[in-house]
Amino acid sequence: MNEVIQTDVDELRENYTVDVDDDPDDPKPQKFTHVIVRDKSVPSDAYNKDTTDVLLRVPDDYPNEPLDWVYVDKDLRLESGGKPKKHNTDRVPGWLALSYHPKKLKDDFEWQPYEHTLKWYLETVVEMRLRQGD
Amino acid sequence: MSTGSPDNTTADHAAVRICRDDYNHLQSVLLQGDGNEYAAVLYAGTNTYKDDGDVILEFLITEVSLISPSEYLEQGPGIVSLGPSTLRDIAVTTGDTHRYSNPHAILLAHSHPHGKQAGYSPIDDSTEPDIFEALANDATGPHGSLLVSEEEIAGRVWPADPVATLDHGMAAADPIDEIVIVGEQSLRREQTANTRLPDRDIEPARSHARQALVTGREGNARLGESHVAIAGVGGIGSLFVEDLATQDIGELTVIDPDVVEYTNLSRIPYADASDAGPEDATPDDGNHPAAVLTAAEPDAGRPKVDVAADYVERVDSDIKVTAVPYPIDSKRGLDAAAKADVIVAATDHTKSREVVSEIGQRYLRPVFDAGSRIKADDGEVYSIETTFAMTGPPFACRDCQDLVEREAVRVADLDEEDIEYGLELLEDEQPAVLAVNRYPAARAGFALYGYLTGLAEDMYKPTWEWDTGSTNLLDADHRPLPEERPDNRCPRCSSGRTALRATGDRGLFGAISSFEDSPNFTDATAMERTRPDVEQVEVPTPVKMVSSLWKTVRDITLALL
Repeated sequence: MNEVIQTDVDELRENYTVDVDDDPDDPKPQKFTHVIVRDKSVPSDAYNKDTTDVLLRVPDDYPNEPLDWVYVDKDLRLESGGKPKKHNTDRVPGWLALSYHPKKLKDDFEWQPYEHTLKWYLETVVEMRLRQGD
Repeated sequence: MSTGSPDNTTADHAAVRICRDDYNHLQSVLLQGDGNEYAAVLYAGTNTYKDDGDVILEFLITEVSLISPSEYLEQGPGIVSLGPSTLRDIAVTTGDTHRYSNPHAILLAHSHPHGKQAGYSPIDDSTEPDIFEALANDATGPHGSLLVSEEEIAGRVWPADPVATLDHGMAAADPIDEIVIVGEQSLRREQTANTRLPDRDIEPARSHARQALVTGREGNARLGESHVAIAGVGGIGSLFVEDLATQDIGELTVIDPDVVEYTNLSRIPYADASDAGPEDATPDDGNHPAAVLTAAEPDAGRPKVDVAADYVERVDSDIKVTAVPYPIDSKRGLDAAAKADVIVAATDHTKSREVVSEIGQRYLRPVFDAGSRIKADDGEVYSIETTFAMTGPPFACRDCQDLVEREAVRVADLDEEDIEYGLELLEDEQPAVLAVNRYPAARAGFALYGYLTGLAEDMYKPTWEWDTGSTNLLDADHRPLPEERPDNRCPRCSSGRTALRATGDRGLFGAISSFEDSPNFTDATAMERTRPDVEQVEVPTPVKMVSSLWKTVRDITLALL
């Protein structure tokens, strides 16, 4: 785990319960660190749960390479019982991947290494996706 | 050699590395023409490593600030003195850094405008031990001092351990031996007045006498004092190896994790069939670079770095060559590059070029980035793009020059939905032609030559411009780079205490992969083969300062005279 990921994890731990797996069983050949934020509150009543674990799938080249997608509990469902929109269950085993990308925040969004952090990703990208409630 | 006793030497060789604008600023604030002495503070990252058994310490300057005369206890033609509260404020301020950096080192500078020569006075000698013992207590050292006169500069390094200063007083200090000025058009070394370096030999070797007619003996000597690191010695980097081997360069470090394959022979001019192994014999265990595994794989090609080193040795055995069979974006690659004066970026991938730019910005190493990219499919050519850019200081980083295709970096994690979002999938096998590679390599190679020799010295030829930019060879369309000046908002290439430029070892680095060291591969990892006994430098890890521990009661006058 590189020094920058470690610093970001330390920052997350000031507000969240966080587990780290730096040698995860990840289907992609590229190396990732799995930073798991426990019991993140779900900012919408459109789901079947009030909290979910969130996987921050951090590429080895972080922060030069950004995070992408939003990973939540595999059993997170809409109130209606259906799965959230644009989901994928095969991307990382054990997690429900929601197709949501930093570019969704605004058209001219650009990832800024050493400015954007894991906490920023959690509280902005993940938060925005879950607020959608769909 | 050292002014300190052998067991309290902080560095066998110490240097200050500073961008020309900051150096000019330092001179202008300290030598104001009114005959008065002035004081300034310089905030610096540090770069500590071992070279041939010597401990090398560099201060990497990120900010130069005049200490306001209103804060001086006393000022005049023969004196400037600072009080404990001013020094305490400086120590506290050094903790005001970027979130990914530890506190900076501090250099206190003052002027002796009344003389051309720079020599510390007896009062300097009597007060500095107290000042630097106190600073080392408050902020992670080593710290230092500079003395600037009209024509010279002198400097001292003080130990990180305040007890060493307390115990040994003046004997604890080591000289700062040289100032390395990183300009837009040249890299210039100035030996300090109290240097430990020997007198320079500027007589060119007979074989380079005609080269010296261009640059002068001084320019040729500057080449001989230069150390160039080349990141990537494949299709483009090998052309730099060819070039530099003939130039009387002092030292060359080649960094590449790959072995020579048959498909490389058309682009590495000095490699032949005996160097190449079949592509499917390229070793890969996931934990070590291919070039490190070759000892256990008889069918594999030779490490590209070894082939490059052999070539240089054949051409000029006086050039010191270090071969590093690791990627530039690994700890070993980073450490090797940070020892050189300048870095050539010639890797295959945009992500590793971004790391080279970042190493340059962090360690104040100019970066000469040359690349080509052909878009073609089975004989149908869409573009032949060649680019040369300066992506280290004092220029902007690769990102700020719009040279980073961040989405193309993510090749390993793509699926259909990613591509739907406009991400580009790069093919494994890119088209490549030596004749195309020569174009950006020649532009960058000449710039490197001009930069190191001083041919384009910014003091004398301020209008000199490098041939940077992108050219599509199909239609000769040349496009300049959008912006070569650092963006003040960019943490990687802007200056100042709260940025990451010039943090050196004190900054935290992401995007650096790790590789295992294994005793099974010691034969192949004898890559520092000109220095087989190379040791890892034990550098104390700076700790983020939580609060000042300044000793509040000091009844001495801390004077800089």
